[in-house]
Amino acid sequence: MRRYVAVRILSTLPVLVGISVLVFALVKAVPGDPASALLGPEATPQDVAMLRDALGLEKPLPMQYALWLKKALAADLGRSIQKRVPVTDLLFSRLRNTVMLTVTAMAFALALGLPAGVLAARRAGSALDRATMVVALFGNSMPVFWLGILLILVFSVHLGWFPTGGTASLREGPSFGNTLRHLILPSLALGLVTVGGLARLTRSAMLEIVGQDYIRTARAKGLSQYRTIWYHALKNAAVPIVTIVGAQFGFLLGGAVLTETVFGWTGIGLLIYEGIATRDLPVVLGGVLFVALAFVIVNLVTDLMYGYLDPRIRYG
Amino acid sequence: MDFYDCGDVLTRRQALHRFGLAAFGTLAAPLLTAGRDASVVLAGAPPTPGGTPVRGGTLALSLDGIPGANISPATSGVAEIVLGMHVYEGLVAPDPVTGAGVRPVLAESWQVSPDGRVYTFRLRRGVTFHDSTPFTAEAVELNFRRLRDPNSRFFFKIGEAVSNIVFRLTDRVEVADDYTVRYHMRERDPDFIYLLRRPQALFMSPTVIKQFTPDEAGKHPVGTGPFRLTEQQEGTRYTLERFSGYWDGAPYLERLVYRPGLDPTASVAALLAGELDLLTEASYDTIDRLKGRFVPFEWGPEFHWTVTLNTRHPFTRDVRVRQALNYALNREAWVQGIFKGFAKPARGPATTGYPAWNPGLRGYPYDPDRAKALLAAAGYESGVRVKAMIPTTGVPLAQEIGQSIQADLRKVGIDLRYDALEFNAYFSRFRQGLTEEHIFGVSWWASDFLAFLEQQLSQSRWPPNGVNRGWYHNAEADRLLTAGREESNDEKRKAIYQRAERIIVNDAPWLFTVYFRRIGLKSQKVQSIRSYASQTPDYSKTWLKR
Repeated sequence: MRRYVAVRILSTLPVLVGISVLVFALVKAVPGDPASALLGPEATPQDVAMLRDALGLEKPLPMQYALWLKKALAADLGRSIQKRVPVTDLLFSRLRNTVMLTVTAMAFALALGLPAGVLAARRAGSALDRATMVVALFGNSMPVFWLGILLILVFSVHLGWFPTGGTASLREGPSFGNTLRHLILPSLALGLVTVGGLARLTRSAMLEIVGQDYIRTARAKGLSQYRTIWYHALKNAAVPIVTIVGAQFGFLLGGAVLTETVFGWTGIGLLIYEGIATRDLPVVLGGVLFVALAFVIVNLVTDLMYGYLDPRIRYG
Repeated sequence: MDFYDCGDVLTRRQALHRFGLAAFGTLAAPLLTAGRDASVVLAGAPPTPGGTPVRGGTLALSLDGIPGANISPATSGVAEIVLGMHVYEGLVAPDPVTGAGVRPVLAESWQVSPDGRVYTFRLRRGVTFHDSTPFTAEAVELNFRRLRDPNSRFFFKIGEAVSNIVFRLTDRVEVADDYTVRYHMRERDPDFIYLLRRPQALFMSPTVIKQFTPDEAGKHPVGTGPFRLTEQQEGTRYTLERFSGYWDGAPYLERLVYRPGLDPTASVAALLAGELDLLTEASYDTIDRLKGRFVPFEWGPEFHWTVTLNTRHPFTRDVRVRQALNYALNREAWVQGIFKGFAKPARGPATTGYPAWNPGLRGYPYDPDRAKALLAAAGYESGVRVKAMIPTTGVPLAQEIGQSIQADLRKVGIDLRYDALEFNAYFSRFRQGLTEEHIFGVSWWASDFLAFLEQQLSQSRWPPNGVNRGWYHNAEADRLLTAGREESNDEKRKAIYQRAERIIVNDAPWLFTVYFRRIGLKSQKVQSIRSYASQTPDYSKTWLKR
């Protein structure tokens, strides 16, 4: 098992280097550069050339990449061109917000999606099943920015229950309660768009399982419906569910850009977006590598969970 | 010169603005309170009669973008500049009401030598930085060396490039005595004083410059301004406390608190929910809808929404075509439809705030028939298909005005298509000057200094040396623009520039569109907002009605 984990982690290194080359090439291929973004529209080409020189952007591209890679291998992701601070500092300051948002959104998604999927599977073909799936499809299809605006409008502007955005109130000091109030709407918005897919997947996985012989056996030997569904069926249906949860989790860690933007929730997704807009290559590289690493780790954890869920799966 | 610098974050803001505000407008309409009609307030206007300023309180604001840690005069990010403008001050600033002109701040007075190459400033006495360092001529000189002297150990190379726009022609700063400094120019620059209003010409504490490395100094923002930056929670909140030792009287407000990273939709929602006290900018639709409940206020200088025509393009090379395009624009309809009345039709390149503004200038009234006749005379009777370039984000109202231009030109037989580019990509190309592919590119400019016409339209300012991106050239206009720069008498200069402007308007190197100012929305309790040089209003005299 340890060997398996070590090999998996080591095998990510070439993947990360490959991603860094790709991101480097893509950002460089897009028209516009950080010097141009920094100086604004009024600057002349002469001004831009002067700043490019000051920022070291006039060096040949392979040399720029090699210099970055050399530092990156020593865990130094460089400095943000726009913000003039180390990229690792920026990532760590945003990490807390991103993790909070992702975990809470996933908790919302699991709390609503799993029971909805199980319920729909138990009453397959019924009006309840169809209604649940229609709602799930609706949630799945809803653009997150639209849902976010809707939630702000109803729960913040109209009802005044939650703040409209940001990560903390401007009029009171930082506190857990302050942060929690700001967290609910963005995580709900993000969670609700994940619920649909999760409910539908849970339903189909459960439907496949409940037709199996061992479920019939469980029922024949007199187990209650509750025990049959929640202990026997759901655990066996969990492998595909865990797979999608893992994939979603990795996606949410870096992909919640729209939610973060609508709610002014300053996380890593927003940081990457800012970096792209200003062609701040070290920020984009650092952010994307972080997300890639998060994907790899979440996938690894997901794989390891298979072994727990299905004892027949073993890693050597 | 003052350009509405939009930078990185407006890109994101405006991307969201496009779908976000539309969605918000649709959804919010029934929930918004329609109330009494409130007229627009000018920044810096005196308080309403009977209003006595009250001390204390926090002004909650939204910050456009998320600033980095370097809040120094040598940054150019919008968010950093907004924070820095409250912390730092320069020798001069614009008028607090019009947002144009020049008023003394850390300079008490100044003189320009007859040859226009030496500016002598008498500095204000009794001014201290937030760290108690006195403001003297040494501070001025050290700040200059930090940005411009490669041999100084305080030299900040990035700052040199960022400040080039201000100090391009400045050779050195001489300390005459503790409270007198002289800026020596490499060549005559009669409008240097206007450049000193810009964020790059503000002063940071010499103690900080000496204590930290050039790159680190910006992380310790210490200026002479009315507020001290006391808290920076990256991505969460930025707090500025009142500086009790401020030379012009401590601000009434206890503090300013900024929330970063809110998009326009979320900002409006936060204003409605009472989480913010004002928005420095809002869409014209939002202002129109909320002007009963909140008070619109104009601030900053007047801008011209500029369409630079390509005088090298086979189509727009012909002056009759350029005139025809100007006659084809229904500016009054734009003012009412797009700007909800908060703009004026343009009559020439310079705005009404231009020191040599000519009220007799007629410009190009809406006359599609005349436009068609001119096009026919130029050989385009049966219509033409052409392309222009426009940014998808970053220039205010680019989509709306772009579509209006398209619609107006279609009526005179011109089929206009756009190459729409993302802001950064757009300006990287436009900055090099228009190519034969496009008949125009767009931007927006303030024109509250006399050399504006020369800066924009003289041949000497063709890229890469300047911003005459449509390659306009008229020998007589150039001669007058040069003569204007050489003239030391302001009244004579104005007369020369007015003559040059008449030639330019006749040549129509731009589409003269509309003049507009930035407009924000504030709650009824916020009083006395003043204009500042750029990016943010000045809250040093602001107070909250209880």
